[in-house]
Order: sequence, then structure tokens, then C-alpha cells
Amino acid sequence: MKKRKVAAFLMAMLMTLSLAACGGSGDDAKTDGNGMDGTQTDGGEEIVELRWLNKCESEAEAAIWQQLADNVTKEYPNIKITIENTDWTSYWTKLPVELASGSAPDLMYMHFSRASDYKNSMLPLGEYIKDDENVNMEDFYSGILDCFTFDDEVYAFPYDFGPYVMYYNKDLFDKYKVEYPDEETDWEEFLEICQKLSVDGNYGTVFCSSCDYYIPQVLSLGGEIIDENGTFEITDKETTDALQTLADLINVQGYAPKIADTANTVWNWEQFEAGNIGMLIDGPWCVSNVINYCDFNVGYTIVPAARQHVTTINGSGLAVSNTTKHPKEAYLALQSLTGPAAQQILAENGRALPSRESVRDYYYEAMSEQDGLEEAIKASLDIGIPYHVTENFSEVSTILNSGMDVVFSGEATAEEAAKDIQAQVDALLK
Amino acid sequence: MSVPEKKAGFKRKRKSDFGVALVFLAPNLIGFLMFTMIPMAFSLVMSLYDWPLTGEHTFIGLGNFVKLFTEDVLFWKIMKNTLVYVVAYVAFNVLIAMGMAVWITSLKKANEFFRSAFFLPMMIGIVSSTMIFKWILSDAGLVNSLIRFFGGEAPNWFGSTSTAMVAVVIVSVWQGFGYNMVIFISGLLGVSQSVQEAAKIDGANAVQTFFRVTLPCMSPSIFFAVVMTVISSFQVFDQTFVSTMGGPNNETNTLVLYLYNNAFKYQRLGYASAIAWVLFFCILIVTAFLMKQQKRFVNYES
Repeated sequence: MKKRKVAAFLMAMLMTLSLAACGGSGDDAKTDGNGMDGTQTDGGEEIVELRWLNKCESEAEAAIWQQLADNVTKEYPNIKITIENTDWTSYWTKLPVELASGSAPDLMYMHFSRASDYKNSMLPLGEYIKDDENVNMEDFYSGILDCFTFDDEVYAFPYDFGPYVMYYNKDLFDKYKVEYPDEETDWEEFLEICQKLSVDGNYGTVFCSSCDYYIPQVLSLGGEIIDENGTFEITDKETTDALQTLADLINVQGYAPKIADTANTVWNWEQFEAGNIGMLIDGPWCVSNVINYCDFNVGYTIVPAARQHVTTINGSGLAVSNTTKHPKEAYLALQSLTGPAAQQILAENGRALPSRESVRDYYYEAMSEQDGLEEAIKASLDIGIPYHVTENFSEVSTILNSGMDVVFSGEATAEEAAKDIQAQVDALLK
Repeated sequence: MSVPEKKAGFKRKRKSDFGVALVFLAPNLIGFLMFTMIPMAFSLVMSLYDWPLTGEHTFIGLGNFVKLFTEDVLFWKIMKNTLVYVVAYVAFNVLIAMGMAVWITSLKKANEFFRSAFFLPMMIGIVSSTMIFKWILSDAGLVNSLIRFFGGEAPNWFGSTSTAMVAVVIVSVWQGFGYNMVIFISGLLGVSQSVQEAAKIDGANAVQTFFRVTLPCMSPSIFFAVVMTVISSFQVFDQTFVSTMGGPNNETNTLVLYLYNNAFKYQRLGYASAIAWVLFFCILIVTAFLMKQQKRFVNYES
């Protein structure tokens, strides 16, 4: 019995310690030695191998990234890139472990919301940008570049970005003879649409426990959870009123389904794809969901304005780790991977709305079948603000999301929950 | 003069025995040290440090434990959730397993079929079972459709704080009772027929025979089942990781899940190790308590 007890306990503990085991098994050798082992290009240059830890969700996407990496080698024959693709959730487990164990990749994916957490692991790019005549920093959308800039130093280049827009199920609107929403749609009209659509087991809109989806609406309703300085303040009356208004759409008006799976960050998409949801708010990176999984027509417009026209903008980029043995080559690769040619490929494949303005039209062209998407994105860029984050945002967002569960389920008021959330966030960030 | 000589000889002999024993023990011993003893000792050391995944480790003594017990508001909620789960799961698991075992042993036909059928969820694995139950308990799922058909109000099983833990317990019991059932069946079959017949001759009815004779006779297997189930239920992780991630509002967050989140999501390895040791002592204390009760309630036939 005693042995079993010990063994049982160790199940839990070994999980913790498996990390320590990872520590020793880095594959530094792969990247370290290669500069010196005498491999050369035809031109006589030494070949530099770079390892790129990337976030990637599908085989189709992986092929696009591979094409980009191959193009780097075409441009710089002495640079060879090995990509390691990992999905979103695993990425944020794998990257910290690799960084901690001294086996950091040379290039890495970076999400705007995590940039401040990983600032100390990324190479500041200032001096390389200064010496680079081709980089054309003005071409990047400044809002997203700002998210990668700390103390006037750029740490990552964005490859995409996107404002939250509104997706709507045109077939459902047609079925109930409801007029499509447009840029003029205000909150009253939004409620009216919801009411007309919320019949026969259909719902006007949908929520999900992840705050990313509802923050644009909170802002539109006059609330604000995180300000531009990264301060978290949710107990203001405007904010709790806004959150309550949204939760009431589920529990009072019945315009949105009760969130049945609070652990699933794409639960709203699963409902929307089933065809009985009128409107959903998300960024343009999810247009691929429409193309692949929605067997109905979808239209796009901006987030409806309640008290103001506003939406949030976020995006992703790539960075060089500050422990790379080849910073110069890694920078060149980074510049190429986020350059106009690379972003054009991403755009043409519908993978990303380019952060570079010069190639953004390729995206609109590729997406020309998506009704209203181009207009929605362009209008949203005018009203969009960066999605502000706090320090340690992965943990703060977990507190916010789980604290809001009881509001969306109708078991607590926004005011009560806000106090609870604020106390937990304050305790964490103090 | 001969005595010390003898002693020396004896000593030498023992030493050489020890060496041989060590060689034979080595395979197991190395595994035990590498995967059990050293990691355990290491986690104890880590629990005394502020140990982020990246950056400096700082020795903070019992700081992690102090923070856990005095500052961490979530910890007590998680402690409560874990205990609620353990009590509910163990109670339902043992009762249902016992009921099924009695029913199946009483069957004249097909008892092997039912035994396998109810054991089957154990073979499926908890992750798949949980996924299946997420569908069954979803809004348009089987259970809610039935409730609506009979005019009831369908709950938001995994999404509401009042029912999420119930749903987790349902999944766990469905998946896990088969194991105890098999233990109880063998316990029931092990009860001597002559004792039961003697009770019958003495005029005991079926209920009296069961509670006064059969149950005490099979108390060793009940004790074994309860202790094992308590230990395993303290470590509940897979079900909540797959179904709710501890939500809604941490209502199904339990110790191992919290440990996992601290280690892998928030990168606080020292703090996670401290939680691991708290879990260890919880299991230790409860098991020690059960062991003590053994003398009072458990009947080992001589």
C-alpha cells in the first residue's frame, strides 16, 4: 500500500519534473556546430543553419511556411532554415521550456499579447534595422509594430494583423427576411436583428468564454478593461454595465446560447458553423473557417457601434532569440520572412492579412468572394485600436475568462464578478 | 584470538553478499532512484525556491507554502473542490460498484457478459469517455433532450457552476466503477457458502444475511477498494483537463490541475512543487486515517 501511495503521488510529481529532464536534452548541437563544420555553398560561403520554432495549425499552412523558408535560401544561399511547427496551445508550453533549457530556437513565432512576457528572450533589432536599407519599416501597420516595441526598441516583425470584424450568416438573415447589418448598424438595430433571428432554436449572436471576442463590444458599449498603459481595471461602472449588457443577451433576452463549454476557446465558432447563429465577432484570420466549414453564405461588416465606433486589432510576428549564434543571418532571414514577397504569398493563400500595406491588396484579391470583407477590414482599421494587454497576460486573461464564466452563465452580476476578478489580478500583478 | 578472526570473516562475508545483492537489485534500484527517489527529493528542494522556468532561482524557504495557505484565495477553493470530488466520487463509485456486484453475482445467466460490459468503460480511457459525455450532456445532447421531453428544465451541465462538478463526477463514476465492481465480485464469491447457509438456518433473512454476514466477510476487499479509490480520486486531472479546464469560474479546478497550470502555464515550478507536496500530505493523512480505521471495521478471517 505504501509503495502504491508513493507511486501514486509520483504521477503528479513526475509531471513537474519531466521539465527538468527536458533541460539536458537540448539540440544546441544542431545549430551550434554547423557554422564551423566546413559546409559551404557553391560560392564558398559557410552554410548557416537556423532553427525556426513556429506556430502552425495545419498541413496546408505548413506548406506555405516551408515555401517562405525555401525562398530565404534562394535569396541567401548560405542560410538554411529548419522549421518546427507546433499548434497554438503546445507552442506556449514548448517555447518556454526550450528557452529555459538553453536550447532556444534561432527564430520564433511571437504573438502580440505575449511579446512583453518574452521580451527578455528576444533579440533587440534596432542596430540591424539601422544598417538595413531594404527593410522599409513604415510599410508595417504601426499599431501592430507598436505591440512589438518596448522602450523604442523593436523586438519582432509582424507578418499579419487584423481588426475584429463581424461575421454574419446571410442564409439565416434571408430565411427570416432580416436586413443585413452594415456600417451604420447601431446597438438598437443590433438588438432588433438579434430579436428577429432568435426564433426556432436560432440565436442572434454568440459568446465564448475567451475575452478576445467580447472586448471590442465592451469598448463599443463604453467600457474598458485594460487601458493603453496595460493597467487592468474592470470595476468601473461603465465597464461592468457593458459586461452586464452582454451577459444579459444570453440570460435575459435569450439572443445568444448559454456557453456550454467554458474550456473551449472556439466554442462560438462551433456554434456558428452549425448554421443557427446570426452574428459572430472575430478577426480576419478566421475567414478560413468560413471557407472550410460553413456550408452557408457569410457576409462581413464592422463591429456594431453602441456608444462609439471601435474595434481591437491584434496580430502575430516573428522574432530572433537573443541566444542565437548567428544573429546577423537570423535577422536577414527574419526580414525576408516578413518582407513584402513573403507576405504576398501569405496573402495569396488567404493565410494572413499582410501587416505590410504594400502587399495588402493581394489579400483582398484572394478574398474577393468574401462579401464585404475588404470594406469591413478597411473601415475597421480606421476605428481600430491596439488590443491592450497587461503584463503576464496569459495568466491575467485566464483569471478574467474564468471570472466572467459566472456572469455569462447568469449566476453572478458583472459587478460582483468584477470585484472578484480585480482582486485576483491585483494580487497577481502587485 | 579466534573470536575477532571469526568476526572479521563474518563481516567480509556480509560485505560480499551485499555486493551481489546490489547487482541483482540494480535494475530495479536504478529505476526507483531515477524515477522515484531523486525526483521526489528534487521536488522537495524546488518547493523551497522561487523557480521560474526562465531566469534565476531564489531560495525562499517555506515562502511557497506560506503563500499557498495565506495569500492564495484560489487554493482554498481548489482544496474544497478536490475534497467534494473525492467524497462524491468515492461514495458513488463504491455504492454503485457494490450494487452492481451483488446484482451480477446473483444472476444465473450472462453474468460474465454484464461483468465485461460494465468493466468496458475502464478500457476506453478517461479522455475518450469525457469527450463522449461532453456530447451526451451538451445542450442538444441525449440527456437534455430526454429532460426536455419529460418537461424538465435542462441544465447547462459543464457550463454552470452548480452542475459542472456533478457532471465531472458522473463521467468519472461511469468510467471508474467497473474496477471496484470486479473487486467486489471476487470478494462476494470469496465469502464462504457455509457461513451464509449457517446464517440462513439460524433464521436470518436475505437482507440480514447480506449486512451482517456477507458484508463483514468481504470487508477486506471493500477496504482495499476504498483506499485505492480515495488515492486515485485525489489525483483527478484528465476529466477536468479535457472537459472544463477547471471552469466555470474554477468550480472544477482541483489540486493536480492547479499544479499543472502553475508549472506549465504560469511557469512557477517551485510553487507547483509545493502544491505537489501538499497533495502528497493530503493523501498521506487520509490514507493513514483509513488504515487506522481498518482495525475497527475490517475483518480478516483467520
